[in-house]
Amino acid sequence: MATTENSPANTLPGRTVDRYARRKVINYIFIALTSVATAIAITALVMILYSLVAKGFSGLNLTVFTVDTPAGGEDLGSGGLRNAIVGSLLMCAMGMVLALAIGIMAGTWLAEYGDGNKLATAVRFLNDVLLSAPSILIGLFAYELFVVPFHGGSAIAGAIALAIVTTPVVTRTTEDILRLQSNQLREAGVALGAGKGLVIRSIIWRASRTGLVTGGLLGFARMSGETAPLLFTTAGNQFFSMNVTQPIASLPYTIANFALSADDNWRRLAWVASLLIAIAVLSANIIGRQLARGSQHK
Amino acid sequence: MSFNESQVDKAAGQATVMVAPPAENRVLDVRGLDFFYGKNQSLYGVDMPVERNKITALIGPSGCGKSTLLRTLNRIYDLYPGQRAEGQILFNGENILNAKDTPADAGPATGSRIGGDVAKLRARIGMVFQRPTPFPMSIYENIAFGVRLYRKVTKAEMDEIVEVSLTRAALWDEVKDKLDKSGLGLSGGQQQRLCVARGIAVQPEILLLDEPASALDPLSTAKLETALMELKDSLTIVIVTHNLQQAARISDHTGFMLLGRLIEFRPSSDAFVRPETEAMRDYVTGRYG
Amino acid sequence: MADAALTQASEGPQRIDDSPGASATGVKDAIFHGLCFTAAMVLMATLLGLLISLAVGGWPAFSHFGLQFFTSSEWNPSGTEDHPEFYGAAGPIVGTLITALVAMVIALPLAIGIAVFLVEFCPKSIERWVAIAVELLAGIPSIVYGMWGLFVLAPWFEEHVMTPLRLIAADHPGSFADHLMTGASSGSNIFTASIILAIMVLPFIATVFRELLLSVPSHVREASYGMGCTPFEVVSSIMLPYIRKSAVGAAMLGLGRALGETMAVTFIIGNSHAFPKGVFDSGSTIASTIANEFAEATGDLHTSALIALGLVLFVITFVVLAAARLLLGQEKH
Repeated sequence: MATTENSPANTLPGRTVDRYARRKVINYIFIALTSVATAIAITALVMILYSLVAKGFSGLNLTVFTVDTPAGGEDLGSGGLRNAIVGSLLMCAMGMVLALAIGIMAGTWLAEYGDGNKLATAVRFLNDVLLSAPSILIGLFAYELFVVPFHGGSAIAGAIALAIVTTPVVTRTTEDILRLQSNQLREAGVALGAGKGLVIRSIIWRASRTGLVTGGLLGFARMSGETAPLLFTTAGNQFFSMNVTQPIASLPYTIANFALSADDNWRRLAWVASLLIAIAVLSANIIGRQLARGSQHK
Repeated sequence: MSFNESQVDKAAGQATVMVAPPAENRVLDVRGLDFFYGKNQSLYGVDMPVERNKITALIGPSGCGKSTLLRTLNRIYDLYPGQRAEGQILFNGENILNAKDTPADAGPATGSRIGGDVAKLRARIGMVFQRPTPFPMSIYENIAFGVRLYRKVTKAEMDEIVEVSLTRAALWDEVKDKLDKSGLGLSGGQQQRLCVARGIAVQPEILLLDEPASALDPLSTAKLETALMELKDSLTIVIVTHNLQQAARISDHTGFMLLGRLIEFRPSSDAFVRPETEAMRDYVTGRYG
Repeated sequence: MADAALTQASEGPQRIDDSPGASATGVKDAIFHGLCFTAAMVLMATLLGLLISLAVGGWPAFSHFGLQFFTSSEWNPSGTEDHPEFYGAAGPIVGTLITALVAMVIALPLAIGIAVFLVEFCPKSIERWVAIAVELLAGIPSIVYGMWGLFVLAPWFEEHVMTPLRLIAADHPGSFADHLMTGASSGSNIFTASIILAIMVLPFIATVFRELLLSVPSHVREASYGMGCTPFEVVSSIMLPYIRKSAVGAAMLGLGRALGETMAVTFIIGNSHAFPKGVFDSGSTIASTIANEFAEATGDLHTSALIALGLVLFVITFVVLAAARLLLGQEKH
């Protein structure tokens, strides 16, 4: 950056200063820092997944799926998670039905009937609050409403607690995907004389199919990873049960109990259960995002 | 000379230059129609007749109100709170602006405003939109959807209706072997003809088309225009278009609009050759668009 | 029969029969509308019910202890004649705030770094994989974080950080190491809990920041580069200020999550109600306290105190989330 006697740089006040070298250095430091930050995150991921897979798979055997949770003090390798798996599946299934029903309908209301409506703004806001509310408080709420009056925990109470945690996710994704549909599509249905409800059900929902499924999957991912709502609502059950009005075992609850004990066999099962939950959550997440990406390329 | 205020003033001051069809031939009669988007008025005292079994074209520069006028004819603007129309639109003698909605509420905050008489109105006045909007269903289902709103038909009867509608929309030969495939898989021109078929399957008296060929290539446009000219034997067509040649080609009457007012309404054979007002003359000769 | 479908348009209004569709439209529509509305109201009622049940359940504790509930850290469930039951929530409240704030201090710079790296510096070939890695990190359930923290991080921390520091502190009283180790207990302490929280919150903030950076209009970026700015200058002087408001909102969303996190923290925080004496001391958060004690709460006052704690947590997270919403506008993420 040489300057001559007559170049413009000489007519400005002050001296010409060559900052370029210093700026380059700062930039390189910056690149290094951001790379380090990313490396840290990836390292953390690798470490966690490694522990999960190593400890989870090493404790995994066929009896995990065929035998119920063992009592304390058993030999290493004995016992399984059958009742916990079944209990989790039952509660997730019930919870998803509830969350999908209320979530899709509420999301539809917000998207199709809620424009320019102050009530809709309030519902949307409260939905977001519920979405980010600490799930343990939702567990408390479910306890007060569904455990206390019935003098005991139950699978239904757990399912309801899970549903309360999941519904806001479904509501949000439903409203977002419905709003993406073009207004002309709605007008085309109405122009034939179809009522608004029929237009929504037969045309708009059908056009949003992929997005609604994605919302359901993301909701399921959230639900299967939750522990806190179950702590007070199902009370756990060391035996196999399909009775939804009674306490029932679940994977997260089992982990919470087994992990903090000194029993090696219990701790082994806690890792196996963690692995199973992580597989369920991450699969649902990945499938959901693949679906979402796939539909964007149409 | 470009479009300027003197033309606006002239347009506002004059009455419509009108050559109207006789009253007994009119299927629609618009009288003194005003339209408002919220507080902004966009149609000013429009008087316009629509003759039965003829094609009426609405032309004019962007923003002149031709689409707005079209959309009052089947009350589609009802979907949007804040839009309202005042005046008269007589359909076989009845003012459609008075047609009732059945409030679809049992108390919820904002009721749906669609239902009851207005739905029946839309069975008789159909609409095809600017961008093709096939429903996310098979071609067959696209057409059956509307029919099922109004008729109980057997499978054989529905097959017949589907074939007839697609034939009249000049699409049958191209899709007869793939009726169960999704409507979204067709080309743009085919999709638009599917929308026409869908609209006429419910046998409306009037079909409204809002710039239906603006997104289509010339070949598809030609096919669509041919279909429309054959359809007018059985129904009345009102078409909004920014393509002057198209209006001259296919329409029997032409209405020219500017800034929310109907300036001229005359037989098409005359209107393009000998426009009476300066505004229309300048538009038709391309001085502004 | 088929001819009926082909009649001319001039027949007039009688053509359309009164089959279901047109006439029943209004009723069916009303029912559908009502169902949707009901669902939305159920949603709203749930949240309001949550708030009310927390307030009602916590009221006995508030009225019994008054302001001392917030200022005292004494937590005595087993009441005797001389020392009756007492519940002061200062310990968990302070623990919640400290762990969340320390987690944010750790996570925010890392999240910004990751987001900038992904947007500006990451080679295109690995960009997709890095983004997936960050998403995976966000998807790991909190109880898995808890397990990892309890069985991997805590022992490691105890062995490789605290023990050496303990030795140094013993040999050099009054030094910085000594100060660090005041009140230090085990590897399960406030600091390690904050680390876990930071790792949990980090991917979420990074993802939102990345989307915000991508939302900066390309002409702004190009204008800056066109002037000869280095990437550092473009990012720090142009892009980050451009998204400043939304970025703060996103950070607050992350803070909200950190405040409410339960399972990751409960396993690793040590669970002590006393005021933490040092950064490596054990402590508790509101969520961990409720999680640990609620199932076996001794008596109504204990239960009420725990629910009152829940209400405090709700209010704190509500304020943070509401502020975040305001800053983010109506943005969806």
